[in-house]
Amino acid sequence: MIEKTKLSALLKEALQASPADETELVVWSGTNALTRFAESRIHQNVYEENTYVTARVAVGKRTGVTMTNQLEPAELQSALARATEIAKASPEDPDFPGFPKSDAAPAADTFSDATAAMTPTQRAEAVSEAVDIAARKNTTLSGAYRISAFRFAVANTSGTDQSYDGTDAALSVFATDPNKVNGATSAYAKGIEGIDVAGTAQRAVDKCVAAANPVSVDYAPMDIVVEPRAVAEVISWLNFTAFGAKQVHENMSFMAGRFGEKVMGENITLVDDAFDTAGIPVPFDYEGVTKRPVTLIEKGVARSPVYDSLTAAKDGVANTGHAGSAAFRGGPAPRNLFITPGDKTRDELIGMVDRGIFVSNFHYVNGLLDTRRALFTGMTRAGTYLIEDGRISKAVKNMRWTDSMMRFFSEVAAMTKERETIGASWGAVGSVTTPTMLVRAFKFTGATEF
Amino acid sequence: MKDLLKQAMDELKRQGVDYADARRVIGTSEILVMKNGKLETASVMESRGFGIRVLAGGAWGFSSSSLQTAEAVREVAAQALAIAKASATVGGGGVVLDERDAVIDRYESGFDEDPFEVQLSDKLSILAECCAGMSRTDGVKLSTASMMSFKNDKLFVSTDGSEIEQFIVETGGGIAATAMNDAGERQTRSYPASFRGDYATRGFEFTRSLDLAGHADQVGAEALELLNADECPAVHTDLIIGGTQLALQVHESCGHPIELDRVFGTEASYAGTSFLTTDKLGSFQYGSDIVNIVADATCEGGLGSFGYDDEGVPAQRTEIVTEGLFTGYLSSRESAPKIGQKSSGTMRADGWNRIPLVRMTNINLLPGAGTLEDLIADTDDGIFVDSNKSWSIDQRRINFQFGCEIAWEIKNGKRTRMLKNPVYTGITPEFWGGCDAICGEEEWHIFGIPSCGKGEPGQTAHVGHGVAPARFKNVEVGGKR
Repeated sequence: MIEKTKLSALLKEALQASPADETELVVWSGTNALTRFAESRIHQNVYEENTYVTARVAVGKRTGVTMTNQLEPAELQSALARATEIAKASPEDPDFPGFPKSDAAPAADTFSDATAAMTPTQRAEAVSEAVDIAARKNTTLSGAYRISAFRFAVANTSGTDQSYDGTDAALSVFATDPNKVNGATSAYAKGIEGIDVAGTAQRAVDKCVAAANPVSVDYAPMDIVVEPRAVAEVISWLNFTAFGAKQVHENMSFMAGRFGEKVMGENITLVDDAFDTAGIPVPFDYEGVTKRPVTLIEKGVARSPVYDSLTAAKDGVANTGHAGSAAFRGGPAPRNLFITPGDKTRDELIGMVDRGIFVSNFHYVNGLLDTRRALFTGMTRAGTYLIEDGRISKAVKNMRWTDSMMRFFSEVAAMTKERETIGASWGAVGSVTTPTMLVRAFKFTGATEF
Repeated sequence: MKDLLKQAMDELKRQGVDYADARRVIGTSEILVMKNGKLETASVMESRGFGIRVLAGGAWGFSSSSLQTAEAVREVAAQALAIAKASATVGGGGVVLDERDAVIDRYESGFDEDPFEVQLSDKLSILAECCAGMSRTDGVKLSTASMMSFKNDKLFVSTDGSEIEQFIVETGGGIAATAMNDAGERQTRSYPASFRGDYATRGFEFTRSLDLAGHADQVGAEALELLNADECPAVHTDLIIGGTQLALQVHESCGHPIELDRVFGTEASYAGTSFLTTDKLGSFQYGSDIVNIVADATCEGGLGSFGYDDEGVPAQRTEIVTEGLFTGYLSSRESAPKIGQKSSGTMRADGWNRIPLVRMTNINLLPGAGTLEDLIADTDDGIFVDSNKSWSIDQRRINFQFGCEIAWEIKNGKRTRMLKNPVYTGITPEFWGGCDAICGEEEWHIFGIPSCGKGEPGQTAHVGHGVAPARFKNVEVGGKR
């Protein structure tokens, strides 16, 4: 990644030389490495060194954005000149509030030296360890071990000047037996110190072994005990359709018009807190604004979406520091979500079910059927079992479900006190920390052949 | 840069690698999104860099950098080789590529009007006209108009001696109107397809040909009409699927399961595998005998068209389903030899910093005969759906469910009342086995989808699907659950 003082000087020089009235520069500079394996063999193994610079400018209340991956001063000036041309050709946005001035974010523990220094050989050794565990149970492994190390910086002509160094590490493991039955788990952490390779592999293998000889179950509403990976997947979709102020303004969100009303069960409290070290800290957003904790759902009541500078100005509220990239304008979104835990163990949840389904993973969730009702569909995957008389009795074939997530989170009968942090599907750094849940009468609507 | 990359290939050969290739890509894209007449996104993005892929000891390594110096090329080549050696320690390599002659060529996709030379003000004025047209309908609360343009300048060299340059331009756009009522319900209607529209490997003349503004009033009116329409009933019925939805049906239930790398499990942990296992090739009845599907990267203007794939293999046309029988795969130089074939030329990478994967090209359902109105007239009792709203399919691509923007009831050969919130579901081979009519060439169009996801790290491919409306027997259709 680019050296810190060099980056600071480049940004300062570019801001001073910008032809626009206001200028904002956002830089991600770093490396990504990913070792992918299938059938217990490394089949893809990649490394990337890159820099992204997003240049956003304002000419009056007209804005334009360019993105380049070249950091030389002439390239930056070219990007700023092009952004200025775009701004001048664009219509005025009367709501544009100017680029925000943010106080410096507090220091956060975001970097792992061992992760930044991890070699391809070390990643291969980790995969080898996992593969050996699988072989002992006559299963093969697929999955990926990904690491990233980066410097993220935001500077603008309003005086915001922030940067931090970050890492993260993610391991996914998918075990397959000779009959093509699967079990899957994952691990996610700030760095490789937090990745339990052997434990993660063993859990996937155990799920796979337990999934042997699945039987068909008539699909109908049934109680489910649903593990964190599956819960995190539906939360990730809600992140896209519901939790940002833009989705609220466009009446897409299930929370729009319902703030202060009960939209989920009283046992559901959902908070975004970028500094909670139970997840992966992210000090500031794509506008350089220091992140604030936001309670999205409090005891089942819709409280607030998250904001960036534009949406906060529109609603006349404080900016919560959740801006996304200006190049895509998906709007603000939470990145560090936490669901308040319950007081049960996983076995106690299973013990509360007479007849139901244990769900390890969801697959191909889609949350666009009716975003106002948070009506989702998806499949179960890689570790689906029948619960009978308070015990897991046998494996079952996978099923389709179609249900409202407002109803899902209103029917949570109990949760575990233990939570797991799941790397979210929306980007390199972002997570959902959630307990396992017992959900009553989950709507299964179809079946498949395996 | 070409000389530097060729030197790197020579050096890797000297070090005894099995094979190596290098790609330098300059990718430029422009995104314009206007909502209710306000410009939400106006961004131009350029990404430059190179990647080197090395096969050594039968295993792959890949490294890439945005720096384009001699030092960076040397470091990236060395890193790719070191990664390949690390890969070989788990599973022992074993990769064998098909034999290829060296290719030295340049390919340019055709276009009349360079989208990056069109004045921004011209584009914005079209988008503004679209928003105004949709918003003329009372009840339309959100009018969205968007355009995207892409150009890719690519250089490929390999240790086989290939040197290939390609320059590809793509454009397109779409509009969507969302009507809302006081109860908080919202309904969206789009043109020419949902999720940002229709795209082609052509210049800005394609975007102009869509006549987005000319359709804006109708799209706005249909959004409001949908809000007041009856709910789609839950029935088993004959289902006519319009082109924009059928394109995605082909994509999900045929395009992905014929990716041969996926069949061999390389995507197992992420997107999944495929029910179209190699034992089924040439013997499995995928659909009814009127179903003919080809993968054709040579269609003029198709969004999945190109000159060469990112392994230097020429674009091809491959029969996938022939009179209902499963007959072919999308494949690569690595996967094809495993079934005794040569690559069908479908390996594509999303930029310089990604490895090529087996990707869809233009997966085309070949036309039958007759117009859509003929097909409706031939249907006593059924439902006609179009424009995708949601999509989901299991990890082997068997059980699917799609939601659509709009439907109409068909009674006695006539399109009758509009229906909202249609959803249909099925099992892939049963569904295609029930296909009993496909409209003709006059209804056939290649829809371009610029957002096909695959792989880790994630990659987005631009693909096409040539389709005409078709009818499927006894499909489970339902409204909202």
